[in-house]
Amino acid sequence: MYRLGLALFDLNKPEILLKRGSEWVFAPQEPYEQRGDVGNVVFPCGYTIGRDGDAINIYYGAADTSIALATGSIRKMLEWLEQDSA
Amino acid sequence: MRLSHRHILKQPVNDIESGYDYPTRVRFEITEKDIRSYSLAADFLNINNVDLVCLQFEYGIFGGKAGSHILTLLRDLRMPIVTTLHTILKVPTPDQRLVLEEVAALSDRLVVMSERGSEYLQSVYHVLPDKIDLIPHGIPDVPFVDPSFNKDLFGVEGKTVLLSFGLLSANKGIEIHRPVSAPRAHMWISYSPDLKNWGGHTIMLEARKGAWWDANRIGLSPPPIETPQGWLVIYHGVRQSCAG
Repeated sequence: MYRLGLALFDLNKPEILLKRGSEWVFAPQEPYEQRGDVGNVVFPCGYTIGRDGDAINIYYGAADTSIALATGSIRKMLEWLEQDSA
Repeated sequence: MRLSHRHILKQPVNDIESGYDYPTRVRFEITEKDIRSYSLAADFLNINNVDLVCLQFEYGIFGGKAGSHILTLLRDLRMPIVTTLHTILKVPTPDQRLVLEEVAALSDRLVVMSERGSEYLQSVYHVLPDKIDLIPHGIPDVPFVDPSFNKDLFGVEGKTVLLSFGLLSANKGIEIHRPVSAPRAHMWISYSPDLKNWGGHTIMLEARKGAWWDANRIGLSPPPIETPQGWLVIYHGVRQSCAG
């Protein structure tokens, strides 16, 4: 099972971990994510960021079969990390 | 105030002794490391009754500590100065701070290319917002053509070309990778000055132990996202169970 989590690293020394979420934030749930060439895989490889600098479009491979799009907010991801850091 | 094209004087800064073969509208050349040439440039601009000076500021262009020679020119000018800032550091050295603060004080207006540049000018260098103009970094609108056509033009035919935002410098090459795959595989980071030789290998994030969702294998997914708080990393975690 491939799932996604979030972590935050220092801007100048990116090997320094600042925060790491304890739980995952994105997991295979839809039928096209659970069944396919390799089931139960969500794997993003790129994103675009909206004009507002906050909206994020994440393109991901679903079950090694389809390409899907998930949308989110960078600000909300950072807020979530603030609360969910292990 | 309007300036027609033929009234625009250009003053480039030469980093080599022989200078460059400039077109005729370049009327005066500054020698990078010679502070006297900055004074002479100021005299030249004053004598010619120039209406306005547009300065392109970047630490590395000008001589002196943190480019301080340019202050010699600016202090002597009698006309308004509009400065475009190409580098605004969040954590400047003391010299870099002094130079940028004085350039800002001597300029009548400051042009920045990003919202973040404007924020740093206000928070780090205490510049008042009404002096700052944001003109976003643009790109020319060009039709899409077969990239190999352009590669031929620049002599890089058949090569993989990477386009990087900002200036390329030593340590700009950063790779996040996962060199081993079993039994627990972590996320590593390495640095390179030239994208050929790599060093500074460090584990940046470890796969957790036990029943965690990211217990066995982890790895980077898309490239890290730069935010004011740090690099936001979306990583994938694999737990070997059911479907793998």
